[in-house]
Amino acid sequence: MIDSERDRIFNEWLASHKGILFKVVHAYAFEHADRQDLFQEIALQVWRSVDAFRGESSVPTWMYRVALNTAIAWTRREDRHQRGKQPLEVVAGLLTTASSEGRDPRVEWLYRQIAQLKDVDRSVALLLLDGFSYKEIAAIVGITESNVGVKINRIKAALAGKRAEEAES
Amino acid sequence: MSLDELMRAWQSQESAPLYGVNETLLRLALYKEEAKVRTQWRVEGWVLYGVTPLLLAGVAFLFFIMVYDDDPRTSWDFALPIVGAVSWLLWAWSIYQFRTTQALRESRFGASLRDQVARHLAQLDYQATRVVRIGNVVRDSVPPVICGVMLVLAGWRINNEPFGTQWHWIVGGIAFSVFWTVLVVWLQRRRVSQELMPRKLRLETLLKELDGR
Repeated sequence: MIDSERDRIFNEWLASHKGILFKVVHAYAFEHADRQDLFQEIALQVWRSVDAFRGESSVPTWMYRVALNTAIAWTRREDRHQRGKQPLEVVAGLLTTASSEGRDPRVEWLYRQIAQLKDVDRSVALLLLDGFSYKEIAAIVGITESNVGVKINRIKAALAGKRAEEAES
Repeated sequence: MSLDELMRAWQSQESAPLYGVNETLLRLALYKEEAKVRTQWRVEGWVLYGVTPLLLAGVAFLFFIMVYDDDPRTSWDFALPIVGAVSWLLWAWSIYQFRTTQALRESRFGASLRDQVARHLAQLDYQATRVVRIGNVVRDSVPPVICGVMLVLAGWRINNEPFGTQWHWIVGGIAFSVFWTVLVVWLQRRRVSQELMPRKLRLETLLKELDGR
């Protein structure tokens, strides 16, 4: 695929589905600098993945798959800046924090709870909240549907427990 | 607050995005990163596939000189460039085999998160075994040194320079090559223990988590 065609498709994907990237970045990186770094890494992998997209799944499913794969492999260790990536000062400013006006406080609450989950459960939680079916989650994450069921039950229990705990206090 | 309500709230993010993106900066970052990867790939390709024909042409030239100049030649003279060229070809073949075997291994993994984690683990294993196993270190580093020594010796024979007065260059060259190899392997092994192994442990934990263990 020629680069201009890849750029065009990537720009379309980014315009339509950048929310997916933001959610994954927000769920896996907690410092502003880390979020810049992870966003760049995910965007790069999505850009590279355009050639491999065969239309066997929807674009949001594909983007989720690439973004989660990248995020989960991304480590929060300092050495990531030495693995040939852009120095942070070069990509600082890539992401600008949007105004929180109009944002539902329950979303912030959800992000706080998701941050406390294990890496894999975090992926499952993101997909669950975005309305993916057990079957789709199993295909994206690469585990059995029954395993997805176990994880979702655990996540629901954790969320319910937290809500109950906060309601009591 | 039910899960359905939470899901509706979650999906409302589309109307109030968390971030804005500086698209110019993003494009620059992507192009820079891609250019870096392509350059690295090109350099590896040049070393592997570009230097080999040049070296073989050099060996052919040495033969040409040996055959057509008037000095008497022994079979040892002809053996020197042959051993050098064969060492290099064996080295290039072993690197090629390493790369293709690894590419095949990685291609067996699918696109799921689990497969991606398994692929990362295979990559880390590949990097680690290249420097941890003595056999691999020898296979990677000794043939180019043999090649270099043989070609230098062949050059001296053509110029009728006696080995007896030049041996210290050979010993010095080999000693430097050994020192350089040991230093590089030591640095790489340190990187394996300090960077790759912790990452590997993390990925193995993730894999266990994915397998529900």
